[in-house]
Amino acid sequence: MEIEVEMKGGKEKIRIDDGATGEDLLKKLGFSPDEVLIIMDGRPLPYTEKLEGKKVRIIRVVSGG
Amino acid sequence: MKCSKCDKEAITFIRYNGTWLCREHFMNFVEKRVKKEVRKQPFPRGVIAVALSGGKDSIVATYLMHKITEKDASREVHAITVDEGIDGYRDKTIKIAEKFCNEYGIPHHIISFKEEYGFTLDDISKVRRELAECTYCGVFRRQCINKVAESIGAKAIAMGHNLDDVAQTILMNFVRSDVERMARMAPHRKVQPGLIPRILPLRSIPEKEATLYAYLMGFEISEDECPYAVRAMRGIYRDFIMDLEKNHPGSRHSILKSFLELEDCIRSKYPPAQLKACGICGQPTSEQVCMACQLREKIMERIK
Repeated sequence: MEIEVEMKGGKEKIRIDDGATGEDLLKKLGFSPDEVLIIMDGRPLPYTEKLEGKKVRIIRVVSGG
Repeated sequence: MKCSKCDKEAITFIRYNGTWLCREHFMNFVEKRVKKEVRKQPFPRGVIAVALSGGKDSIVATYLMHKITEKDASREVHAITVDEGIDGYRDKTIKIAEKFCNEYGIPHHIISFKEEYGFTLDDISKVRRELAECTYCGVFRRQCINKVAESIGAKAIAMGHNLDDVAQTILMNFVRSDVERMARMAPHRKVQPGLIPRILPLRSIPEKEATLYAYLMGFEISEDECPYAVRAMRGIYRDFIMDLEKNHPGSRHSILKSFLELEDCIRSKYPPAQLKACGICGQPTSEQVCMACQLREKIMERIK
């Protein structure tokens, strides 16, 4: 299936397997689970959960200061 | 997945302790540990200044310090923001900081490199030569925060450093064999004349949890990174620890815990240096002229 992924700097459609979890998507994008928040249709989603929804926002957890 | 503590839907999985948490239990989990840290660290009565850059960590730190002291008549939280002069980056977070302080009625003090030293970090960047921007920025920023804190009579300065930051600093000092610097890490228990002790209320909160807390509170999260961060050594340690944590959840906590075990020994081996007033600006220093004034001289000569 296809899912819309919004990340800093834009949106893109990404193909994922049916039943794929947040962790699967992070692997695809090259992130570690501690590096990002996954927001599924406006709600934070544990990375262990299946991606059931239309829009995912990935928030990078970078330190500013 | 349901929350490990109630029937609600979980919003996060905490890898290092294997629990799923709903919004309410997650926020509770963060607040409880911050309160515990504040109790463990020095927490004098009077004005507590929070160093507020406007990034998510310092916003969360300011909010929680405000929340913890809200019903405490003996303590008052103020926020201090340093404008280093980083075009296209800092302007944005200063606006976030201003808006936040306005909303919560927190007295807000802004100090800029330009007014304080006569040049911005962007100016420094053009003539920095062998030293990275972060070296200058760290020294000037610390001094600016201390100056403002002193002027408002603050008894402590709370910094927004999270568990990832602290684990990085500990490891960095170990690898560089700079144990003395480790002995000077906050939280400071001994009050040095002229130097306001710093505390770290978010020390045991992982960066991801600070971000999630900010998100749940509806605080604005800027995903921008300082344009000069590419030259910071810290990035190497961040990647390394991220990788370590991925394969061995709990590593960051262990790094902090090991440091805490050694802390007393390190601090007694390297007691704080005798500080005196800088011959030029009067700020506390162990030398004749403080590092900020030394660096300032360098920059002034090159800018002329």
